[in-house]
Amino acid sequence: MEQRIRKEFRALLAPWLLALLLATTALWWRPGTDENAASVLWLACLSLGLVLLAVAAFGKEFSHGTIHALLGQPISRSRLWLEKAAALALAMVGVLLAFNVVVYHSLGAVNSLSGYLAQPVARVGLLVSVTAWSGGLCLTLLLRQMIAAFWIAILLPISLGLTLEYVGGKFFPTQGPGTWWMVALVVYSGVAGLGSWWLCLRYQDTQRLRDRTLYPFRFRLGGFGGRTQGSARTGNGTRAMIGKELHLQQINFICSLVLLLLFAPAFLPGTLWESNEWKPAAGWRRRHFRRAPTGFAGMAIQPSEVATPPVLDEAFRRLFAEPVFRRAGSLASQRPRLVVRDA
Amino acid sequence: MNTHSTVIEIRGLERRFGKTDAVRGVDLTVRAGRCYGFFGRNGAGKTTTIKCLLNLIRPHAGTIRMFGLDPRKDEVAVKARLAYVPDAVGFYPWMTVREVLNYFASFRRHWNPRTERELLQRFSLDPAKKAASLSKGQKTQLALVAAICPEPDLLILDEPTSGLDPIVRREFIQTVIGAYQSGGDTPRTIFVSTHLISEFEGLIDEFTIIEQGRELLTMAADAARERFRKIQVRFPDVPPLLDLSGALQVRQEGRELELLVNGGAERLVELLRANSAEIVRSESLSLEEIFLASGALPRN
Repeated sequence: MEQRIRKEFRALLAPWLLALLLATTALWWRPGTDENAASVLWLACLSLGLVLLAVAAFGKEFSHGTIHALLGQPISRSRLWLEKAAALALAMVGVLLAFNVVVYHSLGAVNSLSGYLAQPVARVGLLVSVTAWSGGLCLTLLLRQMIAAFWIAILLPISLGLTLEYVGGKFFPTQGPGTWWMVALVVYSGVAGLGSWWLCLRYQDTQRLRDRTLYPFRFRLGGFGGRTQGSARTGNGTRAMIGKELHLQQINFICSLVLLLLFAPAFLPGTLWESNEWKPAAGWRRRHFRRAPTGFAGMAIQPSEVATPPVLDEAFRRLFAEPVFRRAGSLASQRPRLVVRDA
Repeated sequence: MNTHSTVIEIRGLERRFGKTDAVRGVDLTVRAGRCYGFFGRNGAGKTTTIKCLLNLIRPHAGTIRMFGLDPRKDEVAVKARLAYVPDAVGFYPWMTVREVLNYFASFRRHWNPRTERELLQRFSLDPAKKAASLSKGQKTQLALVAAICPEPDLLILDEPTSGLDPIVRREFIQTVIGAYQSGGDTPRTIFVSTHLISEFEGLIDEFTIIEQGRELLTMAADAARERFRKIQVRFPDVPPLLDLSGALQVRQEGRELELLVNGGAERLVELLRANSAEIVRSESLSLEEIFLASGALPRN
């Protein structure tokens, strides 16, 4: 037992150190710079680090090829899951603790611990940790390797949050976007947590899903040696290497493109969207979106008649929305108005 | 557990991967204390069958009993009595040989430190060496040590000698397998999947040959050697046209004929003698030759 726990912690050591480094980015923050923008950066770094840590729990078994040997041992699947999940949770608590300590000291304006814990950054940090824990465990077991699991563990909760925010905003306009995001992340965490347990119990040693998620498309570029035949196959090593790398990296290309598309609406309205060429599209957007679907940023745009948002709305607004929308510049003058309130 | 009890019982095992039928209706029974060979070409379905035994892959049809238990329902109880060496051995790279063995021992109730010491010495494995710096063959050796030290009732080996050099292979078979089977009070069973059959020639008691997921031949090794024979004959002149339909393979070189037969050797010998053939040699086939000749066996 002791050997197994030690092994779990040792397997998590490298990603844990990286997560710790990312979680303590607040150490480099200098008072006087934009606090909101900094908070966004800190939370984004924390999220990345925690997801990386979470996918390593089972991901290392796949990457080291030890999963067969592990599952061949006389240990119940539920106990195996429990040991891994507990070790991961402990490692995450360490990272979260370091994050909170560093942020607490960086935000010099907060005088007490209880005052700090009431801060949005502490609550969102906790929510992000739970989301990363459950999502990382579940998606690694589902996808059988770390790269795709890392991307999907980032993209899935964001997509879910955006969808729920939009749909919820349509049907329950009195509820703020923060509520929908909280609901999305809590539901996602619950489902993913239970899903990881279920997947571990029913794990089958097949490679089909793994390959399909890592290389979803059969990528044959004529110019890169994919379709060359006969004597043309020789002497084009560099091109073949590039073709191979493009093939290997396709999950990264696809997922980064999806991430870009998810966040593009936060930046587009103030720039391309309002130019003459985009007038019809802008009209369509105004007709269909009472507020721009801008992800975390969108949570800050409230129709002026909407009542004061609850605490989580406020948290998301301060942490994600304002900094992003400041970059969008002219957005405040648009129909969905940016509501800025003092804490 | 006595020598008549059944360790592995598979009936009508089927497993598909998409449109590919990896295993199609395999039946086999392995009794306690036997060394059972599971032969087949690459992609024949050997590893899939083994993974079904270990509940690593769920079969689409058929039943599996291990020690009279269902490995899906009693996974821990079944695995507590067996050890498995996969075809692709992987270890945590930061662990030393000693740590790897300690780690695997942590799953077991029983571990024989004397066997561990002896095998480490025999394989010249340095306990302080990192697993990442071991060669492929040394990793296989380490996996074998980890599998044998808990002294399980059943040892499942999936291509155990691939990656080992010929000297270590012989060492492995003669010492490790021999020591494992002869040790302890209870009969110990080995289920070995391989296509390097010649190395296990003297150890195999019974075997099954599968091809494209189908069971081709299941026999006791001695009975198979008795049944499958190679007959070499020489004719004084050009061999006449004979009805040799009982032979699996016929090869002619000048005045000499070589026949592989699956039973009925006596009838063929009589026929050949009646046609003035001089019997040069009539001998049993080795298991490897039987495996090679099995390609000519009629399919069900």
